[in-house]
Amino acid sequence: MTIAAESKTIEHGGASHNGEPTGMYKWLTSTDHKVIGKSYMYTSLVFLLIAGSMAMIIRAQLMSPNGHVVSQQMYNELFTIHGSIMLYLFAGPFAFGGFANFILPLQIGAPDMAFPRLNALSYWLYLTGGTTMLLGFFTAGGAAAFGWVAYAPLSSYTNAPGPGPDLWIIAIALTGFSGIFTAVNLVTTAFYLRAPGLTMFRMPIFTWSMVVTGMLILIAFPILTAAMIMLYCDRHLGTHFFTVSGGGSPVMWQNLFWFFGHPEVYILALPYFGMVSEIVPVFSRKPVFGYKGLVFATLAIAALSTGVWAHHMYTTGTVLLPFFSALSLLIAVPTGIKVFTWIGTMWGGNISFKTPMLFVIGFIVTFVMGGMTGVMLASPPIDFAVHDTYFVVAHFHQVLAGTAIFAGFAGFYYWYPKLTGRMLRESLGKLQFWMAFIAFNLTFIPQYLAGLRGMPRRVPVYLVQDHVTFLNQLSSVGAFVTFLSFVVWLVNLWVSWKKPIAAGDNPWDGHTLEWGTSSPPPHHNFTSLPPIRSQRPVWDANHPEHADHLNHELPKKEAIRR
Amino acid sequence: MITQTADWFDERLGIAKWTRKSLNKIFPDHWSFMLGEIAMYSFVILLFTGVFLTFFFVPSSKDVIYNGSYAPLRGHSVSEAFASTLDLSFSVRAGLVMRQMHHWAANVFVAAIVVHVCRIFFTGAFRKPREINWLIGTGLLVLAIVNGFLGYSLPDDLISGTGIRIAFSIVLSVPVVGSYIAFFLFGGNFPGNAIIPRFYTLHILVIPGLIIGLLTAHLAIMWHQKHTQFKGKGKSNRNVVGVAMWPAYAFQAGGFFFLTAAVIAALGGLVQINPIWLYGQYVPYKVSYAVQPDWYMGWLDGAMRLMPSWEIQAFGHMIPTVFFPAVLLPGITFTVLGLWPFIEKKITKDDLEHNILDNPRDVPWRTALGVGVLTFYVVLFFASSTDVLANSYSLSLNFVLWGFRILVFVVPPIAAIVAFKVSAEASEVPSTGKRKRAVAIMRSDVGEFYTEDIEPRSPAHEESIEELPEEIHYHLLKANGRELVTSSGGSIGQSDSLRLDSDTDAGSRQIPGVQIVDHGFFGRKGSTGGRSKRNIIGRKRR
Amino acid sequence: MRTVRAGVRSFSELKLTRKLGVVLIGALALSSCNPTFGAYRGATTQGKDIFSLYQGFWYTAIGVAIVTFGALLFVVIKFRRKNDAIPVQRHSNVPIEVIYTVIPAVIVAVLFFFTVKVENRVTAVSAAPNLRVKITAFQWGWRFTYPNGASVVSQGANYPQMVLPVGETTTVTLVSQDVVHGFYIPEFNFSRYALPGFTNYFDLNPTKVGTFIGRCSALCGLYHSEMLFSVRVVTPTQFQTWLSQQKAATA
Repeated sequence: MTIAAESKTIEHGGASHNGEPTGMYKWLTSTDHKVIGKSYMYTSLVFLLIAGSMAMIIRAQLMSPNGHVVSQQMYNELFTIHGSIMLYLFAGPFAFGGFANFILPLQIGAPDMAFPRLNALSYWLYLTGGTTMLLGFFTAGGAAAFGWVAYAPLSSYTNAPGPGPDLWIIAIALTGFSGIFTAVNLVTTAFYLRAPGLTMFRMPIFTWSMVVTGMLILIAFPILTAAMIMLYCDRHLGTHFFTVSGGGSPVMWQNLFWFFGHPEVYILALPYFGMVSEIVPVFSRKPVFGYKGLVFATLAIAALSTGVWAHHMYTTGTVLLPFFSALSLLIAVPTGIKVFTWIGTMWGGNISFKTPMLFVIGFIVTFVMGGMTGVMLASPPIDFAVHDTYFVVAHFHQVLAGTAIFAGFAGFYYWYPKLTGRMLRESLGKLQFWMAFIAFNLTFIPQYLAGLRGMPRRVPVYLVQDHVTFLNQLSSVGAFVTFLSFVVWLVNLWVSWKKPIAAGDNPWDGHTLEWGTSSPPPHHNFTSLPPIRSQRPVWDANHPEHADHLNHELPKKEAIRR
Repeated sequence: MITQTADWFDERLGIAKWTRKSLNKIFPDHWSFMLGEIAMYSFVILLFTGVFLTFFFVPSSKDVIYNGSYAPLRGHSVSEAFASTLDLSFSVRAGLVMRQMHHWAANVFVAAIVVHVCRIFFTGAFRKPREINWLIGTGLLVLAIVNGFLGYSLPDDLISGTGIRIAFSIVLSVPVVGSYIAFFLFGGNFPGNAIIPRFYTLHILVIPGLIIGLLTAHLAIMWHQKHTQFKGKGKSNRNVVGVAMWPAYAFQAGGFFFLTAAVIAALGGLVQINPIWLYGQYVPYKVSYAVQPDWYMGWLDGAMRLMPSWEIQAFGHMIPTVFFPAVLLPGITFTVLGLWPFIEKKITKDDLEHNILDNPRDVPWRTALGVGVLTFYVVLFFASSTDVLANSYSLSLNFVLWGFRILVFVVPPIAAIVAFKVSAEASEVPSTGKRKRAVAIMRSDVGEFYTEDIEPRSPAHEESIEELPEEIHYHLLKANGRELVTSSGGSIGQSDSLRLDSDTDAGSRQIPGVQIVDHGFFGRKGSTGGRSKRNIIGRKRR
Repeated sequence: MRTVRAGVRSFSELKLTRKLGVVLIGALALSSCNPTFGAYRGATTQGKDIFSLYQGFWYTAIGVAIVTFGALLFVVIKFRRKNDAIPVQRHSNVPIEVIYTVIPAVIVAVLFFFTVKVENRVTAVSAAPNLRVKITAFQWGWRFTYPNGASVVSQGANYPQMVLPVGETTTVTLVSQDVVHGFYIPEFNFSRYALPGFTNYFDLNPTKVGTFIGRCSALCGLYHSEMLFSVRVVTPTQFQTWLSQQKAATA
C-alpha cells in the first residue's frame, strides 16, 4: 500500500528540475543529500573491505604461535590502520555520513539538508582523509604503527619517525572536520527543517539518535583534532606537550584522546541503535515500546559517555577509580533500557523474520554479550586482570563490530529498497546472516578465553606455552568465514543489480515518512506528505483503523484494551 | 582643447576617421579574454626591467676574482657574468628587485601564454579565419620559452650552467648534423667562452625583436579580424557585441596592465627567485641535487629523466637516448600544436568561418583531448622532480621513476575520459555555467516541494553591454530587406562599431535590418556630427 | 489477546521471581561448584580478591543473560508471524519500564559497591611492607631492583625473573624509562602501566609458591611481544638466600 496521492498541478515559478545532471558529473558536483549519502556508503564499504582484508592478514599471522605471514613492523602497521579505518572511515561514515544523510531528511519530511554544499564538502574531506591514511603504506617508513590510540611517547618522532604517522594525523584531522560539518548539518536539519506536525517527540528514533550523535560529535571531535595538532607540534615543531623531558605529560595524551575516544564509540553505536529502533517496530507491526524512555535513554547514554573516558586508563594509576567506575557501570542502565525496549516492542507483536530482522536479533545477542563483558571491564579490579588483553579486544569487537556489522547490515537490507528501488534477495541475505552470526561469534568468543589466559593485545607472536594456539585458530577460522559472508553480500548486491526486483514505495509496510515517497525518492524528496499527527505518519495513513493518533484521543486504559 | 589638438594632427596626418573608428571599436567582454593581455603586459615589464639590467650586466665568461658585497664568495674566481649578476643583486640600488621582477615576469609571461593558448584551444578560437594568428602564437610561445632559458642562463650559475650542459648534449644528439650545430653555437667544445655573450645577444636583441614583431602582427590580425565572442543574446557570427575601446576598454586594459605590474612587482619584491649566490659559479665538474630548470622547461626535463636509456642505430648513425625526449618530443609537440587548426579541420571537416566561440563543454571530444594532452605534459613536469620527491618522502629513486613512467601513460587517458564524460554531461544541464540564482524551496499544501526564484531575472544582468552616456541613435530604414551599401562596399574593416540595445536580437526588430548605431563619445563631436557619408553604416558584414 | 495481557500483568512478577530465583541458584552454585569462568584464581591476595569479584560479576551476568535472552527467545518464538494480523498497538507500559530501569540500576549499584571494596583493597599500598622492589621498564625489557642493590635485568632472550617471598607484602615501585609499558602478570590477575615520569606503587601479596609468567601489556614498539619476564614465588628463607646470591651476582 502506498501513499502516492495525486499532487495538484503546481505552477513552477522559476527553474525546473528537468535538467538534472547525470553520470560522473552528478557524482562529482551534486549537493543532493541522497547522492552524497550514497557516495558515503559506497566509499565506507570499500574501506570496510580494505580494513577487513587487513584483519584477515592479522588473523592469518596469529594462527600459529610464531607466524611469519608478515614482518613484525608490518603487523603493527596493519592493526593500527585496521583499527583506524574501521573506526574513522567505516563505522562512522557508513551510518552517520551515509544513512543519516540519505534517510534523515526523508524521515522529517525535508527536501534536503540544511547546508547542502557543506554536505558535499564533508564528503570530499572524508574521501581525501581516507586516502591520506592509506598513503602511509607507500612511504618508506610505512604507515603509523603505534596502535589506533597513538599513546605518547610511542607516537613521538623519536619512537615513530617518518611521514607515515604524520599522514595518519592529517587524515584524522580531515575526517574529523568532515564529521563535525556533517554533525552541524544534521543537527540543524533536524531542528529546523521538520515538516509541519512533526514535533520533536514525533521524530523517529533514528532521527533522535542522529541528532544526539551529532551533538556528541560536536563535543568530542574538536578535542581529538586539538590533540592531533598538539601531537603534530610535538613531532615537528619542538613543543613538549607529551614529553616528560620538556615538562609535558604523556598521560595527558591518554586523557585527551579518551575524552574523545569514549564518546566516539557511542558516536559509532548510537546511529546503529537508531536503525534497530526503526526496524524492530516495522517487523513487529507495532509502535516503538516506551518511545520517551528510548529518547531519554539515548540522551542519558550520550551525557554519561562524556564522563567515563578514564575507564580506558584504570591501569595508569592516575585515575579516580570510584568516579569513573560508577559512571561506567551506570551507563549500562540506559543501554539496558534500550535492549528491553526493543524486546518490549517485539512483545505482543507479529514478527516477520526477514533479513533485516534476523540481523537485528543477531545484533541484540552479540551486543548483550559484549555489553555484559563491558560491565565487567567497568570494574577496575577486573580491568586490572584483563586490561590490554584479548578480553578487551573481544569485548569491543562484539559491541562495536557487532553493532556496525549486524545492525549495519540490518539497516542496509532495510533501506536498500528505498535507496535503489530494488529488493535484495532474501535467500542470500539469510545465508549471509547465518554465516556472519556463527562465524562472528566463533571469532570473538575464543578471544575472551585467550585474554583471560593472559594473551596481550597487539602482539604478532605468542608462545606455545601460553596455551592459546587452539583458541587463536578457532578465532581465525571464524574471521575468514565472516569475511566470506561479505562476499555473499557482494553477490547479493550484484544479483539485485543484474536481475532487479522492483521494490515499490513501501515493501516492508514501514511506519515513517521515508516510506511515503517513491523508491528512490524524487528530486526534493516528496511530491506529497501524509498528515503528520503521530510518530508514525505513514502507518497512520496506511492503517487508519490502527492509527496512533486515534489512540491518543482515548484515555490510556481504553486504548490498551482495544 | 582636445578637439583642437585632434584637429591639428588630423590636418597633417588625416587620421580623424581612423582614430574615431578605432576608439569606437567594440571588444567583447569576458574575463578569459584578458589572459593574453597578462602575457603582453608581463612582456612590457620584461622590456623595462630588462633594459635596466642591461645597464649593469656584463656578458663575459672571463674569469675575475669577485670582490663585492657578498662575503662568502669574496676572493673566489668567477666569470664576469656571474660577478656582475652578484653586483646587480647586492650592490646596485634596486638591482635585486629588478632582477627578481624580471625573472618573475618571465615566468608569468610564459604561464600567461600557456593559459591563453589553453583558452584559445578549448574555445575553438583558432578556427578559420584565425589560423595564422594561431601559428604566430605558437611561434611566440616557443620564442618565450627559449628566451626564458637564455635569460636564466646568463648569470652563469651552477644550476643554469647544468642546463646549458644539457642543452649542448641535446643539440649534439641530433643525428648527422648535431655535433656541427653544437660546436657552431658554442664556438667550439663545451663550455668555451662564447656561449654567454652569444646568449646575451640573442636574449636582448634577436628574440625580443622577433617577439615584438610577431606580437605586433598577432595584435594587428586580431584587431583586423575582430575578437571572437561567446554565444549569447544579440551576438551572431556577423557582429561584435561588447564595450567600446574608449573609454571602457582602454581603462580596463590600462588598469589591468597596472594590476599585472603590481603583482609582478610584489612577487619580485617579496618572493625570492634564483638566488644564484647560493648556487655558485658554474663549474662543469660540479653537478648538484635538486637541479631543475624553470617551470616551463620542466616537461622536457621530466621527459629526459623518464626516457629509458635506449640508443638506436638507424641508417648507419647512432641516435642517442636524449634525442627522443629532448628533440623529437618538443618537435612533435610544437609541430602538432602549430598545425592543430588544420588537423582539426581535417577531423571535423568544418570549413566555415567561426567568430562565435565554443563553450568547452559543448565540444567534449576536443576538451577531452586537450585535457589529456595537458595532463601528459603536467605529469612530465612533475617527473622532473624525481630526485627531490625521493629524498623528501624517503622513497627509493627507482620507485619514483617507475611510478612516473606508469603514471605518464595511465593518467592522461583517465583524465581525458573523465573530462569527456563531465563535459558531455555538463553540456546537457542547462544551468551549468550560468549564474546561480538563489531559489527558495517551497512546500505546497499537499507536501510537494518545488522551487521559486528569489531574485528576479533582470535583463540588464544578462548582457555584457555597456551603456555609454549621451548615445546617439541612428535609425536606418531599410526597404524589403535589401542591404544598404556603405561607401566602402561593406568589406571587413569598415565601420564596425555596432552596438545593440539589450533587448534587441540582431535583426529581430520590427523592421528587419534596422540596427542601432552608437558612435560613442567621439561620434558626437566629430567634425561631421556623426552624420557624414563616411560613417553611414549598413548591415554589418565581417 | 487475553493470554498476552495475563502474561503482561504477571510478567513483572515473573521477572522478579526469576531474578530471585537466579540469585538463589547462584548461591547454591557457589556453594557446590566454583567455576573460574576462564580466569585464574589468583596467586596473590589481591588476585584472589579480584577473582571472586569477577565470579560475582559473572553470576550477575548469567542472571541478566537468562532474563534478557530468555525474554528474547520467548518473544522470537511466541510472536513470530503466522498471519497478517495487526497486533495491539501498545505504546508503553510504565510499570514495566520503571522496573527495567530500576532493577538494572540496583544491580549496577550493588556491583559498584563490591567493586569499590575490592579496588580499595587491591590498590592499597602498605606503609610498612616486608619488601620493596623497584621495577623499571624499558624498550624492550625489565629491570628488577631490590633494596640491597641486587638487580635482575633482561638480557636479549633471557627473560628476567623476579623472585618474591610467599605470604609477605611486597610494595612495587614501577616506572618506565621511555614509553608506556604494561607490567602484567596474568596469574596474579594484575596489571599496571609503567609510565615515564610518573611512578606507580602497588602491593603484591603472593599466596602460593610457583613460577608465573609475566608480559608487557601496553604496545611499546617493535618488540612489545618479546618483553616477557617471570615471577618466582618462594618461601621467605629461600628468598633471603636468593637475595644475597643475587646481590653478589649483580655486583
